Amino acid sequence: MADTQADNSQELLIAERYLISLDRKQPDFGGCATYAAQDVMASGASYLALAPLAASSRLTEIMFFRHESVIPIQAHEYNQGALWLLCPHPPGPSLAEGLGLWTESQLIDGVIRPLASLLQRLEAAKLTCRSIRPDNLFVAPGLHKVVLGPLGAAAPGEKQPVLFEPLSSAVCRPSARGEGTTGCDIFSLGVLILSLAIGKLPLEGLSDNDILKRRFEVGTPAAYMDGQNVPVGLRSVLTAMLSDDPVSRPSPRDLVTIAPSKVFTVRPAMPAGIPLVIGGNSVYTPQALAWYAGRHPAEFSALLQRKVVSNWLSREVELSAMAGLIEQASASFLPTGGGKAVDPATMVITHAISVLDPAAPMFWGGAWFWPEALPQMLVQATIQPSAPDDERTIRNILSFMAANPDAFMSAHLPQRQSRQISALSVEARRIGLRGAELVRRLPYDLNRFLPCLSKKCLEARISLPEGLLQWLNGHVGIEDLPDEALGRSGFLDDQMRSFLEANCARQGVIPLSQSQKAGLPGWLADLTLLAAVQRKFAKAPLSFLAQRALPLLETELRQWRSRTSRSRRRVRLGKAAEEGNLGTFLATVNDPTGLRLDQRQAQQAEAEISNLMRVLDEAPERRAANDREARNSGEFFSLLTGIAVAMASIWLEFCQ
Amino acid sequence: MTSVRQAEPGTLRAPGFRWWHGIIIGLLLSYVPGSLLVAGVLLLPLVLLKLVDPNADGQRIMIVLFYVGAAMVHPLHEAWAANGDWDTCIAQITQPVTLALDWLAAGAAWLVAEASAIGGRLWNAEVARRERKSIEKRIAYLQNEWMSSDDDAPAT
Repeated sequence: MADTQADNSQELLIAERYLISLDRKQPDFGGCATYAAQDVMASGASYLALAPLAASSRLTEIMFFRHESVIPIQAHEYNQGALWLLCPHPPGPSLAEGLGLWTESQLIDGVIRPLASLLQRLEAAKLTCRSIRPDNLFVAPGLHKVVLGPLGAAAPGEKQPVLFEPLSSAVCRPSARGEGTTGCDIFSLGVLILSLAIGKLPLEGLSDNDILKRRFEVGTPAAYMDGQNVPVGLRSVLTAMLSDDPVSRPSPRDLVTIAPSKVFTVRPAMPAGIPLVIGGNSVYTPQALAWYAGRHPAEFSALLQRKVVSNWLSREVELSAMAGLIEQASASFLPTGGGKAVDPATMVITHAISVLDPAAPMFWGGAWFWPEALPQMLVQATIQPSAPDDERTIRNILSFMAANPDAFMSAHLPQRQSRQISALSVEARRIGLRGAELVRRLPYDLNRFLPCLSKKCLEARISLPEGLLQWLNGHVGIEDLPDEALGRSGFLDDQMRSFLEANCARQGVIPLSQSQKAGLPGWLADLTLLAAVQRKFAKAPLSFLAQRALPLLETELRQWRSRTSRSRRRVRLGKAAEEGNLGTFLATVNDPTGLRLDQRQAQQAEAEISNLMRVLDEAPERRAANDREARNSGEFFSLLTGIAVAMASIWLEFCQ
Repeated sequence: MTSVRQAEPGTLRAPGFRWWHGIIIGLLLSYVPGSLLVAGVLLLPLVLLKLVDPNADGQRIMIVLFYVGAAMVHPLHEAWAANGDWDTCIAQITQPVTLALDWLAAGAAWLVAEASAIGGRLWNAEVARRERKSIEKRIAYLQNEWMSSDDDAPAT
């Protein structure tokens, strides 16, 4: 790592094969930063290297998806934990550089049929494209055939201009658009065809809000096509494709087999005779009312309570069924006995909006969003908050929704929303955490390509746990991680912890729970997690990390009462730290058997000491006894010598 | 004669003195007065010990008896060889070497007894000192091993 960066910081060789020139930045491709790359094995074949920051969670499937109308992802490689996608160059400039004016047959052969067959294939694979926009479509010079940029490199729908999004996702902020449906892609395709047919973007020069306003006022087909010179043969198909009701849009199969001047029928929307005025805006359709209800919730709830909405629906729009549902919804304004922690007013508006426009996204907590997009919204808010408390709001929504799916289920939401909510809550239950931790974990669990969102390492785009370990190993110096910070918050921050735990959970390693962590110092819990990650993912040694943890663990050795085993273990710790194997490193300290043995021996030693002390205390008494004994034995000895002397004397006297 | 009388009250004080002791001494007095005189004179240190040190127990008396007995062997043998001849016996008890040996034997008995007691005491003290030292060493080792922290001796 250090070598390549020191040698030439502007070139990056990944997988020993692709040489990425970081100084040759290309225009964004597929919605993410792009650099020129070369295949050094294949005599310098040129590629584009994509550095996705928030790739689609379904990138695995997308990577193996091939179609002639989409630029394939030829290879994906990880370098220091960061994902790189390698694509061939597009055949020509993008449509954003010049739309041109296409004839009807050129459009049918070069745009509608190829892209419709692409959408058909995607639909069969249960994928969506959500990237049909001029800057992601490329045309070979001289040919009239469009090719789509690589899929999956950016979050779905996030880079789409409001103009190219159907109302069901255009009202949301870009990150809240979710996967969408094939219907959404058909709409985008419709806008593309219209732009190519008239040679410019419809409603050009208007702000996003004005575009939305105009579309809600007169309906998207009228807003886009009125006053434009649209070829007659395309008028019918475009009206169908641009329809605000997803059901009315043609399917990819209809478009693949399209013939010139084919007629599509659309159930005409019936605007009200007398508009409903909300927030100073005249509203003619329930869809528009739903949108304005989101913008003026207080006024809308007043209208609901005064039954103005239901009356208007039944009399002017002649939708008595909808009026009845609205009536029911507003009935729950009355205080209910249930102690649910849901603001009933907000829930009523959510419910009423979903009744008014079943295709609309969810409106809750003051935001339009698709529930499945909540993790992506959180990611976006963490990376680049658009408002100061943006992240907190989304956290609250996500945490509440994951914890209380019932509160939303009982609100009879449209099927797509409730399916997404229940998917979220199933995932939340699988993760098994609560509150802020769950919210942090969810994006990682739902998208394995999501890089670690920690502010410290976001730039490195690390989406592999081993990559994060290596990064940490290189960033644990005293200047990156002061001692007091290490003691207080450990080696990792919350995002890194969630990232690693999610990756561990994917491998079946259950991380320590919050309550277990509470008993440990933060850095020790972190080390345990890091050791688990190292065991599962990375075989590379983490000596710097271990060296940094060494003094901390050495203080843990105080638990051992034996001085020799402490010093022996200290030596072993030092050795394990040099080897960089966190598992053995930790096992040296976390050794319950050894600790128990040590404590037993310590107790024995204590008993022995007190025993010996007692022996020392008894010494004077024993000395008295010893003296007596010495006297006795002295007398005995002298008696023996006396006998010997007497016998010797007798022997001398008589036998000599 | 005086020595016999002097010896008798000495033996009279000893416990377990029976009437037949008197008969035996009487018989010996009438039959071998010379030998008895020698024995009596030579046993004087014993009597003196008994008088001087009333605490001297049977064991101490027994020790001195053996040493004195060793010194008595030669004079008694001479007396016996002379068939209890009175002059020979007198010559024996007036021989300064014999008397000196006799008193030296008593002194040696006392000296050996006391010296070996002191030696035993010293030996015991040495043993106790060594034991104490080893116990203290063991305690110091255990305390160092099990009851100290590493703060004073940081790892190298």
